[in-house]
Amino acid sequence: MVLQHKRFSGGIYLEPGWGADDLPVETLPSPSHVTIPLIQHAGTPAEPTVRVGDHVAMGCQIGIATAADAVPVHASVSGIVTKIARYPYSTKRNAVSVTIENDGNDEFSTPIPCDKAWRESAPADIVEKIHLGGIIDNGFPLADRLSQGRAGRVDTLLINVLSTEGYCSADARLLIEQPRKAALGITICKYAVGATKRLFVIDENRTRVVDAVSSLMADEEFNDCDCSVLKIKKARYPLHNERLLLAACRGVELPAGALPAEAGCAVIGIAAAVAVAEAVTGLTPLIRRIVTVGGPLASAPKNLLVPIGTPARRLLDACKIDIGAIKKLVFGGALSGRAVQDLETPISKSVNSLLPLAATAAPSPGPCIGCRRCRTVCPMRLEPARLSKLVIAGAGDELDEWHIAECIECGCCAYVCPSGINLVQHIAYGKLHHERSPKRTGVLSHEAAL
Amino acid sequence: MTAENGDELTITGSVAASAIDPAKGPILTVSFPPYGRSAETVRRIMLITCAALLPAVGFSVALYGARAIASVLGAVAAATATEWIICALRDRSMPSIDGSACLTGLLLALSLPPGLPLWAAPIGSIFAIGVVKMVFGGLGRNFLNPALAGRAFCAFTFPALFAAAGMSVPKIAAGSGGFGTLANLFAGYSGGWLGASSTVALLLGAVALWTLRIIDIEVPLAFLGSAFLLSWVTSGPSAILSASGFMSAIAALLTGGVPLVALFMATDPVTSPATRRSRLFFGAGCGALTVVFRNFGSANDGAMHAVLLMNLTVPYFDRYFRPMAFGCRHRTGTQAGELNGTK
Repeated sequence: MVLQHKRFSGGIYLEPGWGADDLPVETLPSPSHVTIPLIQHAGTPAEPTVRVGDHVAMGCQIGIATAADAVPVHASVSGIVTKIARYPYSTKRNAVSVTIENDGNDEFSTPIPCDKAWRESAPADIVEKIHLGGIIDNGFPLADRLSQGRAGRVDTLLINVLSTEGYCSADARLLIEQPRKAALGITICKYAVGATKRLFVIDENRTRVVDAVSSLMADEEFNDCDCSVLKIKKARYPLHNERLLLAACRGVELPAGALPAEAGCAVIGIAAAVAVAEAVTGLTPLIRRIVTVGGPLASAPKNLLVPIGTPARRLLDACKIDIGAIKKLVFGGALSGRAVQDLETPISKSVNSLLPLAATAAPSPGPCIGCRRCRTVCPMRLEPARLSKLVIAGAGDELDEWHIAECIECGCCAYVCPSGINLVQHIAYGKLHHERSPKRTGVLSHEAAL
Repeated sequence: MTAENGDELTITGSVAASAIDPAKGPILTVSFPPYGRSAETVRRIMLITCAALLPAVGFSVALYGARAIASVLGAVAAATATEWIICALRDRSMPSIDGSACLTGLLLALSLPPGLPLWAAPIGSIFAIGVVKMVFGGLGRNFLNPALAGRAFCAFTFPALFAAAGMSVPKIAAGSGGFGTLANLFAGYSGGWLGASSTVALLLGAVALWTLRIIDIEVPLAFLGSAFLLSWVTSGPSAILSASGFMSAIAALLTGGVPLVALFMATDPVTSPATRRSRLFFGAGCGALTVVFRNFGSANDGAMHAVLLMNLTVPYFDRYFRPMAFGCRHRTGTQAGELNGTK
């Protein structure tokens, strides 16, 4: 069944990517050392459970979750812990990170108990296994999200296959190369949240994804008549955002900080679904992820499967990128990614693409001419130019009145601004101020997203 | 245990060095996203708008000859020079080559009566840029349309010259009265403003700008619509049901610079409100005031006064016609946290 989507406004139509969907996933040889941050999502950091000098096996838990919104962290290679330090250059600033010297033996031990088959387990047990697997989806702990959904009235599991920025191909490649595993993960999640329906949201432009999903739909073992597809024509960035996705699928506009369960939905990405299948049936925690390396500097763009904590430089080398030419390295996409300070910055669970750039000079911002392009593209119907002016004027109290908390920092406004004003930067700064005010609501800040 | 260890260790030499040691890799620049920008620039927008006025300039040159060229060049040169000088005096590196001063000069020249002495247009330009624009902070900060304010300055300063400056222009279509007059007005027979003679030429440019999404359609539609309706309704009890009432209402849209003002001046993004609904009200207000000022005052200046007055109301429109932000209808007084709690 193919559904019609609801109207949504704003966003930017990005031309389909450069064909990263066609590049098979290559496994990067394990690096000599990995640096694993103990926080890789929006929430509380894990507490380290190892000491310098300890020997850890691959999959061994090195960080324990002590808060509800924390996630366990696991060793992605086997070897000796050489350093536990605050790493200044990670995407999460000064996150405590564990450096492990790889011994190359690839010994494996699982943190997930092997008791019974998932079909016989209670949903809560499955969620517990997902938690122990350290799975993060879309910057949030998946187990936390699923358990919140379970308590509510979730009837639909949304499978979000819209790419973040056109060229992050992890989800697409997983659907193509491991459709069974993805399907299994989706089925497990559906059982865990107690949903009765599954809904794929896909971009009609990405033909590889469309084909992969239709072959899944044709699979009778997977599709027992509760599965539908929402094809979006010319999907505009940032529709992959959870709140916008729910608006497009269900016509429900959730306020910032609300859970998809409010709209009767749980949302999961393909990478997370595969990780769930691996954790629940394969007893493997999330210790690897697929990263798309692309951009103008990449002569050989690749989809790479890398252990969490691999230094970015290893991936750049694998793609034959001239290190000397890189002036800026972006984790994530060009519109909402984050430039890192150091080539050794480790890949975390939330990094889906690397974008090395040669140019650094941003045009110097000019005055706002009130052209309204920013408000036309704002998916949250805000007025970025006004917010930016208020922030610069220091009018903190007025920011609330103009709903600064709703900004998702997608970057559309700054992208289209003909004056080159750093609108997102101003608004993010204003949100910091706003977050510290007593009336603070749940806001996904830019830093938290990575 | 180890957490304290971590605090002590902080940044060790090897970690920090890789960022600054050229042998280990290049020095990376960090900045806030986005890392790509669209190709649209302010200069491009301004130059395209100037280009869209070229048909109107061409038509006025055809009507008035070298006089029109001199007037346009004088106004543009004075506007650009004024901006340069003021930028230099304020020690601002802000380049004035973004084309906005050029556009102001062009619009001002096109809005003046064709028979005005050639020194008047530069004086208007100097006032428009120097006082209306730069004094309030330059591009984007002016609350009045600079070109219209410059014209108003000239009209108030040289009223006698203005009264005498109308020039007769050749008729395009034969016949007078009824459709003949309308066709003349539409094609170019309208002596009031230098560049507003030909509605066709102005429409050409405006349609081009609209397809490029540089101007919007709400303001001109509401402007012309309300001006038409109001002039029709006020055409008198006998004329309102006859063809002549209709014709005179149409004629009201084609004279007194209304096409130039409605298509190019009221649509100025800086001095018009932001939301679609508020722009409709803004345009309608401009149109209605134009008719009021015309019926009780000068036929040639009504549109100018109307837009200048409406410019002053823009901040109120912006405030009271705010769009409902995403998810805020759902909230209605409850915080997101409470919503979570009530599931």
